[in-house]
Amino acid sequence: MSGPAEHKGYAESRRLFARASRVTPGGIYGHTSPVVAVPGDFPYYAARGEGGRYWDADGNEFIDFMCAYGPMVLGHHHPEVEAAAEKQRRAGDCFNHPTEAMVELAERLVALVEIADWAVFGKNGADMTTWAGQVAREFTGRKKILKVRQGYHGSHAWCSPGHGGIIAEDRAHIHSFAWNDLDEFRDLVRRHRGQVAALIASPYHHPTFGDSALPAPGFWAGVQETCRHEGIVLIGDDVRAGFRLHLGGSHRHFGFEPDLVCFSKALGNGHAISATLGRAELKVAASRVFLTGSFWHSAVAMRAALATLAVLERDDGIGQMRQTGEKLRAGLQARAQRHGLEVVCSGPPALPFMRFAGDTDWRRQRTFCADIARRGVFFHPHHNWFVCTAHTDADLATTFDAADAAFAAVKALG
Amino acid sequence: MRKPTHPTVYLRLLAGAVLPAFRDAATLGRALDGRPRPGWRELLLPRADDLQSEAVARGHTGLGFGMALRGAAILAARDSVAQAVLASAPDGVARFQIPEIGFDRWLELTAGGLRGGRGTPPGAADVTVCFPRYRTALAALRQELDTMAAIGAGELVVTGVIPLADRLNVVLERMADYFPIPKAGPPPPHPARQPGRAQPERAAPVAPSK
Repeated sequence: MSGPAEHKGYAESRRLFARASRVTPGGIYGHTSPVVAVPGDFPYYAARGEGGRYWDADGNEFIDFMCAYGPMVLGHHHPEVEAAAEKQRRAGDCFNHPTEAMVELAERLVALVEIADWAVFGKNGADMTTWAGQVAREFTGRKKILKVRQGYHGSHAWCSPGHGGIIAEDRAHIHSFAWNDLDEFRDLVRRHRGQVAALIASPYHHPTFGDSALPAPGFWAGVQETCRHEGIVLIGDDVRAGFRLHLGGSHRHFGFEPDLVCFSKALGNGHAISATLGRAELKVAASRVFLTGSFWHSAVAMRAALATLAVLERDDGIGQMRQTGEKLRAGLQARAQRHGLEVVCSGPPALPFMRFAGDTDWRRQRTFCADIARRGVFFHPHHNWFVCTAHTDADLATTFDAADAAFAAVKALG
Repeated sequence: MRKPTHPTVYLRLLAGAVLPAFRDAATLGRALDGRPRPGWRELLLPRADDLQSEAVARGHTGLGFGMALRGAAILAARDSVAQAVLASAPDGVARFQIPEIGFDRWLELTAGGLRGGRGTPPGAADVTVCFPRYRTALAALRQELDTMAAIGAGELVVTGVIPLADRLNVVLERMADYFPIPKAGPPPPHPARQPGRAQPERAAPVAPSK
């Protein structure tokens, strides 16, 4: 693993970015854009990954606490997942028809997720969250969708955090309330009584540039009760947290029961796949909402998903990630304390986040993340982190040594 | 995308942001040493040729940004599109700096309302937007800058609460809906795609791409 002396700089990343900027709007767009990380002091391009580590285009090695923003739940290039994918790849991936893998995966997910009687598949989270909203509209005959303010459900026009190309009509029937504010939610329902098709929310709140917030006691119970009473379809957006908190869906971890639940990210351990699962009552409505994409029946990703679920279940991946996350949090807190720095840790252990108290302009956070990246550990300054089953105690020990030095750099800021 | 504008907001922007810029342009024009001295037309509504002059380009950049920042406060108070954008913005202070031309101003967002000023902001800036080179700022002003690429390349430095800068940027760009900046025409067809033309020679790529 690279130590501080071995840091190779980011010249190749910058060179690639200069080339990209000539032929790609933004150079790199979306969530991996340098804009939202530490521009100039972070890697821009990856080269390869193995287990809990990856290498950038300059050859720098990182312990990876972003896991590709979630998908790498078992670590990069997991041998069993890749073997299953490769076996299917040799047989073929993209056909005129789905394969048996799709049937097997639907059966597997329906067996795993208690509320589910059926499953459909896509490629990305937004494919599923958008479609789930349509199913709710088809089922209820209503227009409006309620969501949590700053809740992220993908890049489609109804929910994108961006501004370009959006018209008011895209969001004319989308209404937001503050996370954990049951009164505001109920007020919205009252104001639009008989018009609300669905509530969509992630199982806990994980905004960028902010602390993750777990559900307040009674929040989900109150939401669920109101949805049932008002005939509102409750959509759980488990794209980010799915298969890191509970194998049966994060709603099991937090104790509520959605009507539809969307997964992606961790489902295929890096292979592009997403899924929506739903109750039997919604199956006919679901069958009426057109759903397809050229590659959405890809058998390779489905075989990868089946293998991922099998490994997670066999090895108690959820328990492993919880323990790793707890150790990571405790270790970082202890190191910060040694340097007299107050940090705020939030989120479930498997999806942790840490920031510096009182760091209103995020300067300490960026300094910490840039410094520790130079020492071979990748944390994002403004987005929740991800733990995977491939992270080892040795990785954590290395991380804590690097954190010691990075905290010292933060302390030196004054 | 152009969004609907409102006549009353237009008039307020005219009175509160544009007319003061004319006054500033007249003052600046008199103060500059250029021969001939630029007038308000060159400084505020420069043609492409005018911008070859360093004095005009620098003056136009400062005046344009000043006008946009003054206009932002009016838009926050009067314009529904700006209000909708700012509703999702975190409160805080944003500092805008163009060191090459001595431009240093701030905007403070509090509960959807904006106020601004020059120099050091009232509290610590939550986000700082700095154009190390004024020509980059000029490109941004003329909506010719790929902002994301510029940030990645270090040509535009945004540090702090990026969502605040992002929302304020949308409001600043809103000025162009009221006072459109004349754009160049569509680009000429790509030579390689013109029927009946030989494939032009292309420069060798920096590195093999395949």
